[in-house]
Amino acid sequence: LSMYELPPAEPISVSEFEEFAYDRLRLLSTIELARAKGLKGAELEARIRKARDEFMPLSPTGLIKDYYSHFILRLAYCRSEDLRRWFLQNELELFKWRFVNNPPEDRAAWLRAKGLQYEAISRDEYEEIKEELHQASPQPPSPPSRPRALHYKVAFEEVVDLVRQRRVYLRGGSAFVPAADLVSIVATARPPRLPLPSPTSLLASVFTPPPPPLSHKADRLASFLEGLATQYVGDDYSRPRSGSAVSLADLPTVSRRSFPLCMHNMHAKLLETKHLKHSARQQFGLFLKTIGLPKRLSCEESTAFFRAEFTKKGMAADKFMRDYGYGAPPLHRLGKRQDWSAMSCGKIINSSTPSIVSSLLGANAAAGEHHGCPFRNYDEGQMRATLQQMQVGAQDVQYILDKVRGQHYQVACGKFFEARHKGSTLIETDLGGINHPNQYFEESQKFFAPKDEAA
Amino acid sequence: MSAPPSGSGSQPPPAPASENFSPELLRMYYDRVFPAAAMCRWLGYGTAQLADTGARLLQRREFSFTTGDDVYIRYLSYENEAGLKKDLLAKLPHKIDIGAIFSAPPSDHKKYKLFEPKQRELIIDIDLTDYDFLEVDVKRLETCDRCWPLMALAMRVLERALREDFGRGLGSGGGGRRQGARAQGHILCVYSGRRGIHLWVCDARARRIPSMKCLGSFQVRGAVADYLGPVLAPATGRFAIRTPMHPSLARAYKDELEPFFHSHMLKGEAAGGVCGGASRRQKKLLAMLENEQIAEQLLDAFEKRPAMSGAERWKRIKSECKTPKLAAVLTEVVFTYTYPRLDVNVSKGMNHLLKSPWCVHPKTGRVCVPVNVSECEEFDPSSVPTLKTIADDLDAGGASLKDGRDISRTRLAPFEAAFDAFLAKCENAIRGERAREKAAAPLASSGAELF
Repeated sequence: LSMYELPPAEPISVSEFEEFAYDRLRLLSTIELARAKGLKGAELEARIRKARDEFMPLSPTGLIKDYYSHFILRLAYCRSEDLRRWFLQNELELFKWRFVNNPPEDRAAWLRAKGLQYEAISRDEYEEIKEELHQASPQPPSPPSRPRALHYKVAFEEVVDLVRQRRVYLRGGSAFVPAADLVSIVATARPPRLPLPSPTSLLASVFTPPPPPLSHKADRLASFLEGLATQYVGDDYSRPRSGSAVSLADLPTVSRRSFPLCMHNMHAKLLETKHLKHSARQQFGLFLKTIGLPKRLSCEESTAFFRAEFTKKGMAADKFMRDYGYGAPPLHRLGKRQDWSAMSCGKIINSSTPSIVSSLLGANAAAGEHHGCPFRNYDEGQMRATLQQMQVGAQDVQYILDKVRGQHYQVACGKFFEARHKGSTLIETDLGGINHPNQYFEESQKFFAPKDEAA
Repeated sequence: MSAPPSGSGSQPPPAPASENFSPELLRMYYDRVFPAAAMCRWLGYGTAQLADTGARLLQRREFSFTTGDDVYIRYLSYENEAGLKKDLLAKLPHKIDIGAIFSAPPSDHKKYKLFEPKQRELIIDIDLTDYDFLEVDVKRLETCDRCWPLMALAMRVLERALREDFGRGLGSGGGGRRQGARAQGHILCVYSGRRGIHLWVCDARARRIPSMKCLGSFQVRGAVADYLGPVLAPATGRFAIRTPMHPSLARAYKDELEPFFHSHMLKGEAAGGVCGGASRRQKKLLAMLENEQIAEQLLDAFEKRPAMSGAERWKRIKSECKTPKLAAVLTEVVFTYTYPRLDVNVSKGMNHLLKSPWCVHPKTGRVCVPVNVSECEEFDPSSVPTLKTIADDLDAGGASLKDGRDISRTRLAPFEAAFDAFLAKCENAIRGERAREKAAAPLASSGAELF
């Protein structure tokens, strides 16, 4: 059980560095999904245990991995408020799980070692408020003959989550916390101890002293870290897969049927306005690239597609080639060797920052920006209207809006999938939500394939 | 309407708004009556004399005025009562709101890069609008004074929870229970001028909730609000109350809610209270049981004996609902009809504006006067002074007094005295707090750190 107070000092290899980071990211993503699905209690514990055993086993190497990976992710996730919150919440959940699953003696020793001493109430005090303590406990009333449970007295501000759920007895500003709920105090006490320094300072502390020959590696690490926050750890959708062959001719049908909302939206806007701005062209173009076989929706065809749509509004073909032609070749790996795999949901949700300001003002669509995740960028009214237009049932709309409010955009998208594919159960499965637009697309194709064959 | 009736019978129709509210009356009120000095004393929290002007709380406090044509003027702030009074007279606001204490004087907020709320009273807003289950005619609600007992109940329940559970405020004796050592500071209750009440929890601990960094102030304030207000389960239409009840709710239920349910909710103009009279209302309650069989039986029984009183009907319902599950449902029903419904969003934020005490409600012309919790039962909203009655008082009193004590000649005098008493208690607590902090940390006791 570590509070991760000191950054590691031993050097590790770059490949270990990356491997550790990915594994923790997978672990945290699992927790995030489980939480987003509203799993509680034993179910959540089981899920965390499974993921922990898989990615951070309780072995010497596993412990080292845990230790290092925490700090690596800290580096990667300290760059924005959103990322920080994501990281903190999931780390907190992991911590709570570990704390609760530690043997009580260890826990007590650990608390002592951390200087987290809480004042247990005296026998007299206990006798005086015994009744109330019983009433306040959310567990089924234990037999009164049970020996007196240890209670700690703390300021109510320290057990915010217990207060919120009315699960603790309060008197005169003090909360009387049963030993079983101690994790709540510790968890609340933890965040201030989890400072998130700037990447440079931590980089400096992690790699001090940086041996001179390593400096180019530091560059490499820096870009790795930068990418990590938006990194996608699910299946690989970087290149087109066989089986999902979509040609231009199919596009209208497929868009309506199998595109996730973000892509459908951009496609619709393209048809409507005959234009898409750069970010949207990129997001949409990469997606198109990977749903079609290279042969079918190749660079030329993709360019032709955009050109056809753009020029319908009277734009001259040569103007299109001059002004927009530059976009397609790199998307198809013809230029610089850069990673042009289709964007994952994480990237789409988080990297649409330029428009966040305007989307907050509701000006996203007005400014002609259609990229990003609609579940995140739309306001509630707009979302509701869109969903209704897509014939999503009222109950599902409510569910989706709830998830959106909780910032679980990917689960919202999963529900959207279910609503659009009657009879499918996506969010009940391990998948939980949508992680990648192409995943949505493939699931959808899988869903419709037998029906198409039947027809 | 099914609102709990008060014993006072029918009220005289309210005077038309124009008579109670006009720019001329407002000017007179701000000029001669409005207790600007007391307001500044309150919001200064004993810091008005500090040498370090940055530590003076009043000048970092946001005021917001609403003009007659509904324009909000935000981020106003004043150094002293003279400034406040002058601006009141210049702008003649129809509504005055009070915001948070910021990191810098709000009137200069554009000059600062870092401008954020630092302190805020814990505020609770209860409005009859949220009591839609009463099915009160909205038009009559405007000036409906007969709902007051519900407001008085809400005030008592919440004030007690804040005082005993969170250790806020001294209030009026603790009912024999040992008081928490932290119980100082104060709760100001204000009639909102129409049909609601506001609670201002003013002690330093409440004001400074943000500076206690846990997961951010939002969570702490939110947690307090959630603690005070159970969740209305949309599926059942009832408040969700766990069994066994949390001690705080159990106390409220035993001491306040259940007696009130019997004394007010079960009595009514159409005999039967909430479980009698108009069949729609009766059905609503029975539907909450979520047991059609029992509901139908009861409905039949009630129809056969329309003369049954509310208490008798309730007894009958109780006798039908004997299982632990149904008994728990009945408890929830009582909560649903009586437990205060607060607007949690007002309490959660630091930056939410709330109407100031001593403001005049434009629709009713009534002054938002402080209400003493121990006497809230006797408080009668219809007797609250309006601009008109104040003007009459002043006219009868003759020429203006030199020292600005005109308020003492009006019907507002007792309310002003109550406000003064609140201020005195408040300042006492601040002095005690300071002495303690000084003793605890003799080195770090500059005013700036205290506030």
